[in-house]
Amino acid sequence: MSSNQMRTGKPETFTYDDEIVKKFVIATLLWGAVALLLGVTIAFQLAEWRFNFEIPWLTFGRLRPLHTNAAIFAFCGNAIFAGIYYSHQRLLKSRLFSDVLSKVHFWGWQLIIVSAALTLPFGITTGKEYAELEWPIDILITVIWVVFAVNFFGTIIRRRERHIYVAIWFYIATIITVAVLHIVNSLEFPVSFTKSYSLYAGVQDALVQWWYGHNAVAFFLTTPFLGLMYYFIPKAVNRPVYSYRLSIIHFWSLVFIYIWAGPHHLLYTTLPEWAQTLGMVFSVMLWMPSWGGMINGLMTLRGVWNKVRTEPSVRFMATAVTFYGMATFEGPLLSIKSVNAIAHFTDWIPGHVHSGTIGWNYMLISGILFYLVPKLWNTELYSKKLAHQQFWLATFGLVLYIVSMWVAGITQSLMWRAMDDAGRLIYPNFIETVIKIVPMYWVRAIGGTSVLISFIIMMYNFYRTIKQASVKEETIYEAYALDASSIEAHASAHRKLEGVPMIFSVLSLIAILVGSGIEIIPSLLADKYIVKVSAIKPYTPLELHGRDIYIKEGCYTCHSQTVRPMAHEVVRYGKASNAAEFVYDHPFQWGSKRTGPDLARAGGKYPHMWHYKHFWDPREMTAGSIMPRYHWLFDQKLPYTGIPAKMRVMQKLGVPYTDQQIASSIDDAKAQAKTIADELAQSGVPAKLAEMEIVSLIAYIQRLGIDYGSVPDEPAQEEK
Amino acid sequence: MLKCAHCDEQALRPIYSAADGEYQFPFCCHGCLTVFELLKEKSLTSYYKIKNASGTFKRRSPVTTSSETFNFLDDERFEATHSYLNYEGQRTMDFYLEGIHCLACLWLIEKLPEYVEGVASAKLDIEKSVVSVVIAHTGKFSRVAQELNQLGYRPHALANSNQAKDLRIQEEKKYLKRLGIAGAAAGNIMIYSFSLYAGADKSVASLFNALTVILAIPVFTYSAWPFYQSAITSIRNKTLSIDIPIALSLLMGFIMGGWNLWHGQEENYFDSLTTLVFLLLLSRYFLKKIQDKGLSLTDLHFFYRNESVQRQSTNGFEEVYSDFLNQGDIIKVHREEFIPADGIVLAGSSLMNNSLLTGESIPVKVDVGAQVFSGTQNLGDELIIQITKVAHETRLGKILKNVEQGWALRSRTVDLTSTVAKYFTLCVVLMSLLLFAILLPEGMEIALTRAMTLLIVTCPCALAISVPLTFHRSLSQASKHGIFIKSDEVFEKLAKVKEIFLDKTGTITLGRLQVINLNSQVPVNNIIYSLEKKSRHPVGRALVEFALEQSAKPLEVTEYLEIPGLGVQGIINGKLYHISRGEIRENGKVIATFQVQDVLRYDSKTIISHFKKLGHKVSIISGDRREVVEQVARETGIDNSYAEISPEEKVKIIKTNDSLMVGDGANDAMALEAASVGIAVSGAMDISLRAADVYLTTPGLVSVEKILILSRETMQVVKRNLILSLCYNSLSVVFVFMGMISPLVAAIIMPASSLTVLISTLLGTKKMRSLWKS
Amino acid sequence: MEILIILMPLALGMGALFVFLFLWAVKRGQYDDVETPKYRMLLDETIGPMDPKKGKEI
Repeated sequence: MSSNQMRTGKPETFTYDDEIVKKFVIATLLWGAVALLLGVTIAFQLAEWRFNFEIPWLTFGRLRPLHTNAAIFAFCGNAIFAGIYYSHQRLLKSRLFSDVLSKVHFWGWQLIIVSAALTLPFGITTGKEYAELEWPIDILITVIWVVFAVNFFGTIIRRRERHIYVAIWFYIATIITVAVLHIVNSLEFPVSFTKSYSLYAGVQDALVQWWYGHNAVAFFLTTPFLGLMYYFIPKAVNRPVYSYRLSIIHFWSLVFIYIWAGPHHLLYTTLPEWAQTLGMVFSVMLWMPSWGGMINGLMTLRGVWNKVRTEPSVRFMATAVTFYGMATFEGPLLSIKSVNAIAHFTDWIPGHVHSGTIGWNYMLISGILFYLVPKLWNTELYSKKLAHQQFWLATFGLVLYIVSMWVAGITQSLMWRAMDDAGRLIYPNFIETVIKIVPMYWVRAIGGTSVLISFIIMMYNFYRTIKQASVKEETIYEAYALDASSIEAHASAHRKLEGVPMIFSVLSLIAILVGSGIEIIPSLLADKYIVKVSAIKPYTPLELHGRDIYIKEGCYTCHSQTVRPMAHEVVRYGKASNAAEFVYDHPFQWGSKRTGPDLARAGGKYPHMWHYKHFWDPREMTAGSIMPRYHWLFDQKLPYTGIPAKMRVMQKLGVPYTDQQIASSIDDAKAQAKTIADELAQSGVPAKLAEMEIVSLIAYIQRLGIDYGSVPDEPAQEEK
Repeated sequence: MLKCAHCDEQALRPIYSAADGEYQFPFCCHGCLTVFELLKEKSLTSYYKIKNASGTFKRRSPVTTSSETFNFLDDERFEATHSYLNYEGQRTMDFYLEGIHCLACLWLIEKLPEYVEGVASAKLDIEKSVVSVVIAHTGKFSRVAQELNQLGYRPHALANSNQAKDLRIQEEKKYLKRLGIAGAAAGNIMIYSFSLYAGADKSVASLFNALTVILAIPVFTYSAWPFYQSAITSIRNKTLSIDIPIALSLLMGFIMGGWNLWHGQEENYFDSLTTLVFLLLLSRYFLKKIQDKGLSLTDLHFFYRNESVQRQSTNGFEEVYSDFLNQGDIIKVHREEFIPADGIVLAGSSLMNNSLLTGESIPVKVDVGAQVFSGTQNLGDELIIQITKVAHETRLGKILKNVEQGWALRSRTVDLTSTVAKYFTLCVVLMSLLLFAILLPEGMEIALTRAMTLLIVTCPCALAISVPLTFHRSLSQASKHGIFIKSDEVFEKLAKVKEIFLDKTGTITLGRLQVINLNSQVPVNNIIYSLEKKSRHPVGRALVEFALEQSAKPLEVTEYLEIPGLGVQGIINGKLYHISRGEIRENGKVIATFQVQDVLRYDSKTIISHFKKLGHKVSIISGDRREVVEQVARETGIDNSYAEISPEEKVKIIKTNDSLMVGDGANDAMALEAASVGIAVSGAMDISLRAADVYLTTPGLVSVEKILILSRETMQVVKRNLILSLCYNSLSVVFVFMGMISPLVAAIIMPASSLTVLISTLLGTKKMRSLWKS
Repeated sequence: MEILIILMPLALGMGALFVFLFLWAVKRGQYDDVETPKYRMLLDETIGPMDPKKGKEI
């Protein structure tokens, strides 16, 4: 049906595709429970380490990535698709572009989630935060995202409503930006079906990772939800949005500022100074558009605030917008350098993250579901009382979470930096702070449980609602085909010609992007770009092997690997890190949280035997430690045969391994393992351990920070 | 208290719909009831469900449908001037609809194609209440208009808005594009120049610098084009506008940036200049938006005359568009209709209300052979008139014509900012030459760059941004309170007003007759009420109002007779009563006498004393009798007054500068245009807005006082911003002279100056808002 | 900081794309009428006839 055929005055009749929305709603409820359950388990594991029942695939290092991926892509992902597919059709008054694509999109996305659940707990991870999924799954994500984009833009082209409502602009921004972010951050060189190395290294990998990390949060957890807010709040209270002009200004300013806020995750690291300042300034500027959105959302409720008391959906959405305001005020503050110096690596950060994810995402999703489920299944909500109980449990749990994390975060920070006037640390060993805040982990775990219980109440509430649903016959809708006349009220005659430049410029843009990508990446691989400090040498085969185990076990979720140029950190850990140290780290492992101490200078700090006993049972070496036991490292073998393939890939990525080194890599690894095993044997460790994973892990840890440690000191960069 | 189901008004005496099922719905009047029946018959009753669910956003008055047939819409000549062909080749026409007040109206009107055959689509713009209706070949606009009229939305076809509206839309789109590109480029340039300031090292610095230049090119060429254009035009006709220094500084900045890049230096001022271009475009965009909103109101020139007229043709009278009348036509004018053109009465006699022309509210009796003028209203019964003069030859047409000429001739008064711009530009250029001379010994290159830097940094951005924004805020404040202002110069002139001329009727007085000192031996209220109930005569209405105040009850009247110009008489329970010329007679014997007078507004006295306190000289100027004018002058404490003045003499008296004329929009049109500022208090909005600078929707002098204070406040804010921005500019000149200027310093000074000026504007106008509260 | 060689064109490319989308939107008249869309979006479902029981208790 071409859109400019002669108008007959009779409206076209069509039906919306609500089946796909129902599927996504149910998926949201299921995966939401899984994500929250994972969150609660790892919270309890931090409070009491025995909660992993010493099973490898239940330890914190492996479950935390699963929790983040499940919460962001499974729970919020499905909710976004449900909300977008429902509102997109109604705003454009036309059915989705193709039912087949919708089904492919749904089942493809569930396949991605299941594959994540089958890989992450078993140590198959890339080691890049929020992008831990291995390369085959990354490709699958890209394909499914393209399917979603085609389905989405197809509906826009065949729309029956002239004006593209602001919510749809937010969806467009989401689709385009997430596509670019995902592709750029998932550029990895596959070693095998389940292993790959990130294309970038060290500081550069860090910038790309956090440019992606922040914008994944921004463009996956905020922009689509703002679009959903602009549709569902007006619909729930049947009042127009407060100021449509403000929402348009909000959109365009958000699009331009968001993309550059990444670097505020890397303040005081070895990222160049100017990039840090730039990231800081732009994050602070982000505060304005975010609050523009909040004000617009809340003011829409003027005149109908009583509905917040009676309607569960309005109550949840109003609270969600308020938490959005709080989180986007806390964020810019946290990205100011002096505040970041306190908060970075502490528990304050997960506090901020969860005031956004539970406060904004969970609440808004619940609000949308309370609006959607009765409409989709054509019934009344089972019980409003249950909904209000769920609300209070969720809010109570969230407040517990945030406050406990604030307390823990600030305690950690102050204890880490406490120094007496002679320049000695008042709390020299790290465990003192950990013991101090374990009660806070209990409070957080209880808060998390209360949020989980509230979610289960919601599932039960919806289960009963759907059960009492009568079969609903298909409602027929009618709307007028978009007549070409009102495209531009007084368009001149050459409208068909307009189509050409649009297609032309989109193609040229893609060409530029791809062109510059292809032309640049090889040049990046060439050596001349990598700054070298002579003392830094690439990892030996065994250490490289050990590094993969470090990534497999997800040690970066609790340990960071970068010493910030601050007095107390230099005294506690050793020399401040230098950009050149990480030049061979594909992917970088700076981490973003110090539940455990920083390991950047761990090399040579303790004898092999210390590590051996510590991995067997951390409490033996440091009383009160909450680190899980890694006894499976002592009887699991990671075959050395895979090492040459890894080194060849590293060679392609610019790490200066000679072919000769690659050829003899297996023997070198065995030799180095033997020396370590011999030293361990002297203090009574059975010799057969040489082949086991523990040896290569110890080799890697003993190498951390050794090379640069020997280079003479430059003056520590004064704390700004 | 029951609410009308249709318009939510209080239903005093509810009329119930026919019972469907066991429910009936209350309506406040027949108008709403007929609409309800219509909707029910077309099964569109979900209108009420939407209305009740979503609440209304404007108050709705009960439905008043006129009996027009609207078939003059189908006349090809009318269509030529009013409808336009859209891209699809389908005929489209825009209608202004009265009574749009809620979501359900939008739903109902956009469903038009379903219940009116031949209609292709209907798109409503809720803010302007304008619907553009596209009809297929089979459809007729008159059918659409009738349907809308029956549904309670009285339609008014808008003049062929193709060129005017089209132009305005294209203009706005170009402006928005320029704004968007300037904003995007300024944002990105800020990223790269900020990185340079934060110390990006060698390898990246040159890349960033090149990027800032590349991104700046579209801003300096495409986005800043309006500034160059207006600078060129003002140079061409020898006036000095604020855009000249701006254009100068932009050009210099661009040349210098390119030059430095060419020579590998990193110095350029692109981030400050592009942000400046963005802010300038933004503030002018806001001002344009609020002004367009005002102008679009003057398109609706249908208030003061009827669109359709009954013209005699071969087979009786048929409806014709009033503009298409020509000399010699014979037309029939019904009760309450306006006379479309000057003419002579052929048959019938009636009372004419000429308040539009003479401003006096007492109606004039007219019978066969008398002259009638366009714009007057027929209060009595039907008249048959032969047209003598049409369109611009009519008396009203002449007034409007020379008002428009006066308006065109009126020189664009030199406002404050352009005078400042003149001196500002001169001294900036002089100083840069001076600096060039001083630094010449140190080398041509340094001297040249430093002089050019001076020109760049001293761009009057703060002033150029703040003035439009201040006016925008004042205009939006005023329009929120029903004060429509034609252009922003008005504030300046109002602030300088010395003498105020007030028209009497309708401005100081109520403009309506009121009964005073009625003395009678026997209670006569019921008699007055029952006799005068049906009368149209203003005196009669004053009596009815007076009687109702005493809660009079209607009595049964027989042999009722109304003699135009003489009064009314009738028999009530056996006695003959006669009311005329201030006396009430019972069977010939006078039982009561009364007087009728145009009474003062309650607040006129206090406000006029405020005017005096503000230091203005106040005088009355009116066409009324001398003793009435003097009496009103005494009562309100006005020192001098001019009475029995013809419109032409009024113009001569008012012609002094800094004079403010407040009067009725229509008959004082010439006087309002002559004064330096004219405020139309009442009268038809469209001709008032042509003649006067300000149109007040709320009657009386209250708004006049408010607009005077608002103008004074606005000019204070403008002056304060002027001083602030001049300080900033002199500060930057000092920096340049001391050689401490650098892109970073400029990047701090310029946005800081714009910011402080913005804050002072917002604070300044915040005080004004408190003004309305009092 | 060689990574910028990838990030720069990317950010600029996406910036250019969104500028282009803005120009396309302005040209296609998306921002001609900015008041009515917020009302029109409330109107999508077909709504049944006026339910009688509401009549009485106005």
